[in-house]
Amino acid sequence: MDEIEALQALLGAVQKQETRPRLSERNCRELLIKLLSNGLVTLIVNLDGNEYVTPEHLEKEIRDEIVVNGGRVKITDIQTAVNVDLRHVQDRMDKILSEDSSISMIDGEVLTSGIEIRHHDSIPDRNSIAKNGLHSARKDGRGMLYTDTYIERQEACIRGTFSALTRPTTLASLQSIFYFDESLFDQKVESLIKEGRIKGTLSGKGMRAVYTPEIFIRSQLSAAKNFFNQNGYIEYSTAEKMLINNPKSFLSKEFGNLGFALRSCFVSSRLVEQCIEHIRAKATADGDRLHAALKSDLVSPAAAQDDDDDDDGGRGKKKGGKKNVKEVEEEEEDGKKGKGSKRQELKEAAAKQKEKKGKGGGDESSAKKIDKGGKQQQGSSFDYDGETSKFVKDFLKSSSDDHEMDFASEDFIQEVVVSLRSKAKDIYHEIANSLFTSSATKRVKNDELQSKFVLLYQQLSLFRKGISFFSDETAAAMEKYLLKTLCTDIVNLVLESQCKAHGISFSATAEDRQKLQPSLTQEAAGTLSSFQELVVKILNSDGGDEAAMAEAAALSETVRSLASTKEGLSKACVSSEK
Amino acid sequence: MKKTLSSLPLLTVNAGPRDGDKWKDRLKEEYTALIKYIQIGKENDSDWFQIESNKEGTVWTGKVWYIYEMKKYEFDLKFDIPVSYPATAPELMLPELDGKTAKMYRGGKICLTVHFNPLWQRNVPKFGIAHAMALGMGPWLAAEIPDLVQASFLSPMELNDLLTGIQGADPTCSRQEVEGWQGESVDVLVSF
Repeated sequence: MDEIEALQALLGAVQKQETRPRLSERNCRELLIKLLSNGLVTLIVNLDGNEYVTPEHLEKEIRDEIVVNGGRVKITDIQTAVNVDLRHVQDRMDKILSEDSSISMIDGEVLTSGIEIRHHDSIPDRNSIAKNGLHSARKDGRGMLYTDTYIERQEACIRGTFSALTRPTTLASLQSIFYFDESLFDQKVESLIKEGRIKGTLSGKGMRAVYTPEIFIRSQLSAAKNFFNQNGYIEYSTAEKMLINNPKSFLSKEFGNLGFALRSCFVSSRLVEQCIEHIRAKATADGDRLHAALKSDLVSPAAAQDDDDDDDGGRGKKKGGKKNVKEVEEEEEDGKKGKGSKRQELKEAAAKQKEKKGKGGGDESSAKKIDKGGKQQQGSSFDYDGETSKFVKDFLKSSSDDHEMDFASEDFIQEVVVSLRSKAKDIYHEIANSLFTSSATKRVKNDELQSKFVLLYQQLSLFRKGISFFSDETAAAMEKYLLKTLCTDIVNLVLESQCKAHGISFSATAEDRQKLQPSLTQEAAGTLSSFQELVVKILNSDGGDEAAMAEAAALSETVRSLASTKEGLSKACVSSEK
Repeated sequence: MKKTLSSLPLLTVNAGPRDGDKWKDRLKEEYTALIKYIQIGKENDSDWFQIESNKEGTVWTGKVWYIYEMKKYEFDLKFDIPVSYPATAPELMLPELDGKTAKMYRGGKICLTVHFNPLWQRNVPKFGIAHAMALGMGPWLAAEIPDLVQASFLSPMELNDLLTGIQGADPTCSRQEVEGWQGESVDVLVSF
């Protein structure tokens, strides 16, 4: 019971205890926000959002962190340690740096003055540092420390790379490949160029600069020179392929006195001279050359062909420089060179040709005449030139009588002859060509005819063999029938081919055959008779049995009668002609 | 709430008021649990009732209070330990509220039938008076008082305002003094 009383008393006592007042977290936070908004306190909230720190305390914490980390610490490490936004850490750091000169910041790393010296000990190449002492370490504008070895190594890398370059390259592309120390890179390159250790030029600024090695410029120039010397010209597009910028100005700078800069290429004065020479020679020799061509042409077609080929070759050769020649002429038009007299000559020649062309129909007819004459006289020693010019002269004289003009000058006649020759040659070639093709087709037709004939003949012999098994009466009737059909077919075939050869229309009927006979010439009759002989021969060689012989005889009879009729008729034809 | 409950000791003795010495043991456990509950409340500033019993521990009286919208509402608490305790849960009574709310039986016995009684049944003999207060009275007050206040059936304790006023004006004035005064006049002050 006592215990219960004690407990009752205890309960009473507990109940009388003062309640410990307690603020909820939410209330605390609200109060804090109120304090902050009223500006009563300045606090920095940490990243979790459940702690506050005053700026003064943050500064202390940062200092502690620096000390704890041995005087060297990254600002991001401080930030994670103090767990507030990096911005606040940086603000505080700025303040610390401005107040405390013994602390410095390099590339986001905080260093105390003590650490800078110790820092050197931590560099791997400790010996060189010891040897050279601290003086060897240099401090650049941004507070970076480099040892001489490092600088030398960088320099060596840069030197090596740039010595190996053979074409223009940007510094940035090299940097991206070789990872040079960016702070040293462009300075080093500039100084190496200045020293003359690496030969080349640097254009542009900073990492965008383009380094052009001298060897590149030299080889570019030599390539351009080689091309120019070899070809006598260089096209701007070719120059551009050699990576020459603005080729026109470059080339005129380099070969200024050796040639002329044209629209699309640079031409050497040598080539210009050549062209001019060529034009002159052509202009003067044109007539002669054509004369020679004319002559050889008339003597033999093969020679003419050769001559043509030569001409073509010449034209081909000229084609390469054609554009240049044109441009040279343009150049001449500009009046740079005093070639006025030559041009005059060319113009005169052109004018003469025009004049001559104006004569039209007359020329045509005379061309034909020359052609005819040439053919008739083929094989004999005939003065074509003399004859032609004489003919032309006569013709012109007769026409000049009409027109009251004087065309008698030798030059003019020469020109006319030349022009006529070319036309005559064309016509000649045409005819020769057609002759050749027609003989070829003839051969094909003959082959066809032959195969047809053989087929028919085989059938004939087969049927005849068959007939021999029948009784005499039936056999005779059948043979008659055979004569009417197959033999007639054979005769028709032969006749048809002959008719075709002589351009006569033919249809395979008996009346037609009769009608046809007078129109067939002697020559055709000859062919037919020879054909008849051939048939006989074949039939004889075929085994010599009687039936075959009889058939062959019948066939040859037909053919012979045909031929004889023809002969008679053709004789009549000849006599009537007479 | 859960945390509080788990920190309350569970009872072991299964004995009612007629079980003699065993009841004494039970009573001891009841007191221990209550003391613990009060202590937790005091420490967490969530103290919400006062209680005491007669010598035998069969009749219990005390006060409960509830703070709603910064105003304190306080009521007398009274209940008997039933003969069949602990198999039967005690019927907690707030006589002042008799007739004010539907969630109540005649005489001010709060209605715990639906939620609390089944829970109690499952936890005989582990639950005691402290548990009945925490799981029965506490939630009932939390559910009913706001409704009653909104229906204007209750008016807050004026004394509470007075108390805050005194404390705000003179921080040296101890709470005991106020409470002592409060304890004497509480019947008068709570008006309906």
